[in-house]
Amino acid sequence: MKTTRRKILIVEDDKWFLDMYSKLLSDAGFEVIQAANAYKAIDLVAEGTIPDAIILDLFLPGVNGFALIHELQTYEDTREIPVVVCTTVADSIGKKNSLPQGITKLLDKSTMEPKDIVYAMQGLLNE
Amino acid sequence: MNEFRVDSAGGNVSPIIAAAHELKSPIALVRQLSLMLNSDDDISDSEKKLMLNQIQLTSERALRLTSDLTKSSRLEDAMFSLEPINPIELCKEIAYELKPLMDMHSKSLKVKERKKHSLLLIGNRDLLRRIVMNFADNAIHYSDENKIIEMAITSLNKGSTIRLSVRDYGPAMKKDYMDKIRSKLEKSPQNFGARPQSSGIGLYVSSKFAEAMNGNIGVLRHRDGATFYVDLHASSQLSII
Repeated sequence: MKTTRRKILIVEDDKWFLDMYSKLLSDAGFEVIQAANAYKAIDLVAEGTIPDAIILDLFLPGVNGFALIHELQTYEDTREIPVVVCTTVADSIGKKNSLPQGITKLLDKSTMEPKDIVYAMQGLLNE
Repeated sequence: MNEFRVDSAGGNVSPIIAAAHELKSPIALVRQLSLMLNSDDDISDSEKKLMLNQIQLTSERALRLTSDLTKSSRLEDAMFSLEPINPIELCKEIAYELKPLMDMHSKSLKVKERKKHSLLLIGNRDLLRRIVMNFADNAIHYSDENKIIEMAITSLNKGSTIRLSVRDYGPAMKKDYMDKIRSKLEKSPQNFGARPQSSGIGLYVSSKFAEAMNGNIGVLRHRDGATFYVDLHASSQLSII
């Protein structure tokens, strides 16, 4: 039986964080798509790459993560995609039960374990 | 293309907050890479070596920043001698020093000599070096993979000013898309073309260092990246190079 791997889009401008999270998710069986900035993420979506979930850093060159969330929420086929924000400023973004609009889950880069990124995706996508 | 000068006194974010934020990212990366290496995950020897290199280079970057911050807070107490400096040689030295970091990020640094005659400027070698290192570090972070980062030395104002600049090539935007995003972001918390706050402290200390040498720093925004520069007085002594 052919199974389809769940597709995760990681939007992260720090290449080494990007590579680390990509490896962890690939090893866990996810298909990973990388975008180093918001423009690339939007281009990918515009070209028809619709991920099952998005991992997003907030501080990005050019357009920031909040603006990308806002942009994604304006399109019917992307507005329901769960977005996990992974940032060093999690403590100033919000609490677990009162996240800003468009953020499904918040991970604090300063305190998280690397594998938390995998557990978050597995939890969200019921894997 | 937009141009503005960076004023060390400007901005609403305190340097301490900006510094704390700036340091959080490399420290978080070092921590997570260390946790990966300590985990029971299947990591090959080559991957381990790569992670150790990343830890080393990231730690060095964070240490450079703390060193710059310490120095910037002591500028008023210290005497920094100003002397004639050959900026081309200085940039070549920095390019050589940053090569391992550039290679690890799949980027390269090129020094462009836009000179019709020999250039010397008046500055402090250590402070100028730290400014250019900051610009280059910023460019590594915000330029696209496999892009060249350009350092250039230019003579301005009929030769009375020497400009050292670092140009990066970030995400290029199509004109119609840029216009669309620009109009949307006029109402957004972050201005179009802005960079993350995390790049602020490097610019803050650079502007302090430039002021200590009677110069200033600034930035030119391009559609596909940015040029950060420092302007300093040219040396009036006869160049022997």
